[in-house]
Parts: sequence; C-alpha cells; structure tokens
Amino acid sequence: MSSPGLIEQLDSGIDVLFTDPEVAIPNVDASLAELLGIAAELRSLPRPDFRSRLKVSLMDSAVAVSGLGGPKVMASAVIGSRSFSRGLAHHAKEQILPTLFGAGAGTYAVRRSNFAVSVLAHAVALILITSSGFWIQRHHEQRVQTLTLIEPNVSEYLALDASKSAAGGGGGGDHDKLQASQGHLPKRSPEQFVPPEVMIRNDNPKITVEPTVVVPPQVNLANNRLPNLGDPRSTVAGPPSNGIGYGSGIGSGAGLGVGSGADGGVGAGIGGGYGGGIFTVGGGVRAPRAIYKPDPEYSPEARQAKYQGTVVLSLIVRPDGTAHGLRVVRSLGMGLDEKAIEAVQQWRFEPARKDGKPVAVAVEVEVNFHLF
Amino acid sequence: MKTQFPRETLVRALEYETDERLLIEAAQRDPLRFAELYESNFERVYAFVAYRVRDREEAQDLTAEIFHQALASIQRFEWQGKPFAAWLLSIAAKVLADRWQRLGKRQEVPSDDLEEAAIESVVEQRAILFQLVDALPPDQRHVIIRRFVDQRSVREISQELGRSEGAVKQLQFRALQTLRGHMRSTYV
Repeated sequence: MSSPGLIEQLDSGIDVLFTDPEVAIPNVDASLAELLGIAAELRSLPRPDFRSRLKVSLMDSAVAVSGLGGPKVMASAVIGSRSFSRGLAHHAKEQILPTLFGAGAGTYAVRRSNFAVSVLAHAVALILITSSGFWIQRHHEQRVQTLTLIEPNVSEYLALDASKSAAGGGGGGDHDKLQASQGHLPKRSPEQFVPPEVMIRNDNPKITVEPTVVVPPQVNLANNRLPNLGDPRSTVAGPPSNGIGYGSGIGSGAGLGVGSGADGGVGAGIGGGYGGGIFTVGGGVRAPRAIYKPDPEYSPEARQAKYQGTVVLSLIVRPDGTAHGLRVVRSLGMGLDEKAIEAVQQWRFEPARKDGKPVAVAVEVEVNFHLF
Repeated sequence: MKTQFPRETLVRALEYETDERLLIEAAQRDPLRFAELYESNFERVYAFVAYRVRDREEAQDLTAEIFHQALASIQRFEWQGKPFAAWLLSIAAKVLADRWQRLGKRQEVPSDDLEEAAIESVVEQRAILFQLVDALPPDQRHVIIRRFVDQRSVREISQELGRSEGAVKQLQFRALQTLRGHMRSTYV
C-alpha cells in the first residue's frame, strides 16, 4: 500500500540523491530504503536511444568490414566510437546532408550564393529545354515541306543489246620468267575441265582429260598448225613456257584460258569467250535482270534547281550479280551522276547466262531523275 | 567431493553454451550477425562500465568503444568454453585501464575475491535492472527516463504530461515498486 507520505518521502530522497551522488541512503523505512537503492542504481541508466544507435553504428562498421574487408575501416570505426555519446546529443538535430533551406545547420555551412547559382542554373536549363522544343518544332515543319516537294523516280532498268556477237577473254600462266610460247589453241568448249598448258606440271594425272578453252562453238578462232599448245598471238617461238601470268592457263593473264585476260577464254578480256572484252547481250547471251534496285537520292543542288533528266551508265554485271566498272555514258551533272553511281552500285542482278551458265556481261542502264 | 547439479540445470547450461557458440561462429563468418551477440550482452557490459565510471556520457562512449573493439577482433576469438560475456568484459577492463592511464589516475582494484564477487553481483543486478526498465508500462517508463536520465524535476514532467505533480510522483513510486517486485522475483 502506498501512502501520500511515503510517496513524498521517496521523491524527497530521490532529490537528495541527485543533489549529492555520494550521499548515503538516509535512514528511512526498510521498504523505502530498498526503493531508494533502486533509484540510486537508475542514475546510471543509459539513454533510451543509446542502445539502438550503438547497434546501428556497429552494423555500419560490420557492413564496411564485410564489404571492404579493410582493417583501416574498422580502426576508424573504433576511433570514431570515442565520441559516440557526445555525437548522439546533437545527432537528432542534424541531417547527414544539407537541405535546400539549411535544415541541419551546423553540419554544413549554407551559402546564399550557392542557392542563387542553383536557381540561376535551373532557370537557364528550363529556358534551354523550352526553346529547344520550339526549335525542333520549326525544324520539323521544314523537313516535311522538303519531303513533299521532291520525290525521285527511277525508270525501269533497260539493258541494251550492244552487240550481236559474243565477246570475252581469258588468260593464265604459271609465273614463268619467260613469255608464253607460240603454239596452237586447244579445243573450244563451253565448259572447261582442264586448262591448257605448254609445260605439263603434272606428268601422271589421275584422270586424263583434253584441255580446252571456254569459247562458244560458233566463234571461229584464228589458229595455226603448230604441233604444240601455246598462244597463237605470241611472238616467242621458244623455249616452251606457260607464260608469266598465273592461274594455270597460258599467257600473261590470270585464269585458266589463253592470253592476257582473265578467266577461261582466249584473248585480253574477261569472263570467257574470245576477244578484247566481256560478253554482251545477244549471240546466245541472255540479258541480266535487276532484282534489287534501291532508289537513288537527289543531290541538294539539283533538288533546289528542280533539275531533271536521265543518267546513262555502263557497267559490267558479274556472274555473282554484282555491278562493277560503272562509267557515266550520259551525264546530267549537279551531283546526279554520282548519286546514280551510288545507287546502281548497290543494285543486284540475276546474272546474264550463256548456255545456262552465269557469265559477266556489259550492259548500260538509264537512271531517271524526275521531280513531280 | 563431487558437486551434483540438477539434471535440468546442466541441460540448460549446455543449450546456452551451444547457442552462444553458434552465434559467435556465425558472427565470425558474417560480421552482421554480431548484432545478436550485442543484444544479449549490452546491459552487462554497460553496467560493468557504469559501475566504474560515474558519468553516463563517458560510460556510453566507453561501451561503444568496447563493442567496436569486440567486433573488430571477433575473428580472433577462440572458443574455450567460457561465456562470451567474459571475453567482452576482459576487453572492457582493458579499455577502462587505458582510460585510467590517459587520465593519469589509478584504477580501483578489488582487494580480494570476495569483493570482486560482490562487485560482479552488483553489476549483474544493475544489468537486470536496466533490462527491466524497458519492460515497464509506457507512462511509468517515461517518468523514470525523464527523472533519472534527463534529471527533470517532478514539476517539469507534470507539465510535459499535463498531469498533476502528485500523479507523477505516484507513477514514479509505482515504477520503482514494479522494478523492486521484478528484481525480487528474479533473485528468489
């Protein structure tokens, strides 16, 4: 049972304990003395938030240790703990980072100039963003006008039959130091299994096949009656040589034919056949067909001048369907020739065919530039 | 003559030892698990320090330093069958010795085992008392904290709570009675 007198005596005794911590508990009732003893012990009670804050501090250190593994971090944590309690007294009022209007003052200095600079920087950024939006809108309108004004058009690909006779060429050699020796041409054939050779490098072939050159059967070639194979146009009578070219034929070219050209024909051209060029459409050579035709762009100056017309290009369509050797036959100028070449270089063809096989062929194409 | 302990006491002691050992090993693997060791030993270490250092703020600083040192050297702890608290108190003794040395004072050393046992008993009671304060009803706990930690007068507390001084004194009285009751039940 508590009586008002006992409660008052207890409070008075507690006041005395605060006044003089070393004073002995006064001679009072035994039960009151026991309560005063507890009160004396409570004078060293820790602050209620101390336990939790110390735990947070320890866990921060633990994270630092487990994350960085550095003894330095732990050492700094121990040193930092020396002023732990004093830091607590102010910690509740402080913020770790400064706030815009200076809350947590004392942690960091608040400078008015920084605030002003920040406001100014944000204002400039806002103006830039807004003005750039207007600029983009205006620019967008201009682009729309340009696109509606100009629409390039390319006419259908037109292959021109330039010749009624087949043409082409071939060459070879085996890197000899001597020019190819004179001799007769091998048998003509649309297909070649073995290239001609003056000097037989393989004395014991597994399969013996007569050497041929790739020349259409209807073409009559100038030949001679010399007993050995060779280049009929050569002025070197001997000693026997395959020539300075490469590719296993005869001559100074590259390939499996005879002459200074490339491929398996005879002469200075490429792509088989005979003569000084490549195949042209006609004479058993079927025209190539464009299967991929990206549109050419209009050059800015031609667009501005509203200039129109047709560019004619000559080119070689290779057996793989690609266009090479582009040359302007009829020019328009104002950058349209270059634009036409750029576009046609990207074209892909179903190649020309001779006897069912793809061959390189020279063609001309028209590229129309028209504004409407 | 061999001392005979009750069977249930031995089992409980073994369970405690095993649990604590597991906690220590866990903290050695993952320092974040040190939190559990901290929670179970905080009052004991603080009471040990507060008994020797009268100033509360300094006692808190030293307690923080002791636990930080323990965390830093937990990897070196080797289980030898002794309670973890004993290891913590050995760190506390060293920290206190350093403190006396810094201040140029002589440390009070117990004169004999009897005095040392008495001090241990007081420290143990104080640790339990600090724990019991947290278990008080909120209004009684508030009065105890404001009166004994913040050293506010009864009048100031009564103004804070909007109650009469008599009511605050009554709460103070009941709080101390509650603590006494719990202490008695703990030690009987």
